[in-house]
Amino acid sequence: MGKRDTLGLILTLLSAAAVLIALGMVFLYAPREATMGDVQRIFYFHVASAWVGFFAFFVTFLAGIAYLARGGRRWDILALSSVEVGLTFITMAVVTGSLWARPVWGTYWTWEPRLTISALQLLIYLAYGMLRGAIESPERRARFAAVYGIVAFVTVPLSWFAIRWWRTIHPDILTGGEGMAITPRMVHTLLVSLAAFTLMYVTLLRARIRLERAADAVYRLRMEISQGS
Amino acid sequence: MPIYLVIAYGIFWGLTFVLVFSIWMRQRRLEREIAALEAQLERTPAQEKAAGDAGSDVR
Repeated sequence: MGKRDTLGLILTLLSAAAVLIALGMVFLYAPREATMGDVQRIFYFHVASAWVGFFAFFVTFLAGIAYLARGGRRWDILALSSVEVGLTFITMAVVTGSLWARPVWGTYWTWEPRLTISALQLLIYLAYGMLRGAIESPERRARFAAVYGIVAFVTVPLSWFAIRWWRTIHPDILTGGEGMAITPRMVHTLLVSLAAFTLMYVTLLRARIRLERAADAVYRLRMEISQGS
Repeated sequence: MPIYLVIAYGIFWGLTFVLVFSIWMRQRRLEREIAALEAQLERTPAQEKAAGDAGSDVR
């Protein structure tokens, strides 16, 4: 972060405070779940990180549409930055979900619909960055990434509805699925965690966008120097 | 406290730290590069002139 980035500093401090409040609620406010015990406390940050991952890919999807409709490097920067932040959060969701599954289901991983789609989603968005790097022309790279970001987004609704469309052991928190009794205190903790993670996403996305702009500035300066010499 | 809970929260902090640190490192590197390139861009015409003057002195 740059020295004069006051808004960035404020956002960072707000995000840190929000995450600490959420963490306090997870361990001090939310009750111990009757069936799963303390390991259920993974749930709050697990759901919040999955939400941010989905939201980040939705932003990439919208930025892709905006790029194809209007053009402009800023949409490409937004799409790329959101994928990078989203990937980090989806990785958190997959890994912590697996750690939650071990004591609850008796296994770290099972190839049921939600988990299979999550694994595929992770690979698809990892490939986004790799494929971008393989295209030389900035115009072609941005157009390809926009189309890829739009198509890849299909994994988000697919993952969301997987636990409703197919037989799965993954709990559905909205309909109060099997295996977990949600109390009002749990709902409050989850909502605060969702807000804290969303704020963290905005902060990280902004920092990532600034990084890409700095990379563009380096590219422009190099071009100026090479044209001048 | 269950070990899985400790590892899970360790992963949240660890991955967040990795992302923040990687953005911060890349930003610092790019800012240094921008400063160096801007200095080079400002220096180039002046240096050319100085080099030209030095050349005429020799002659």
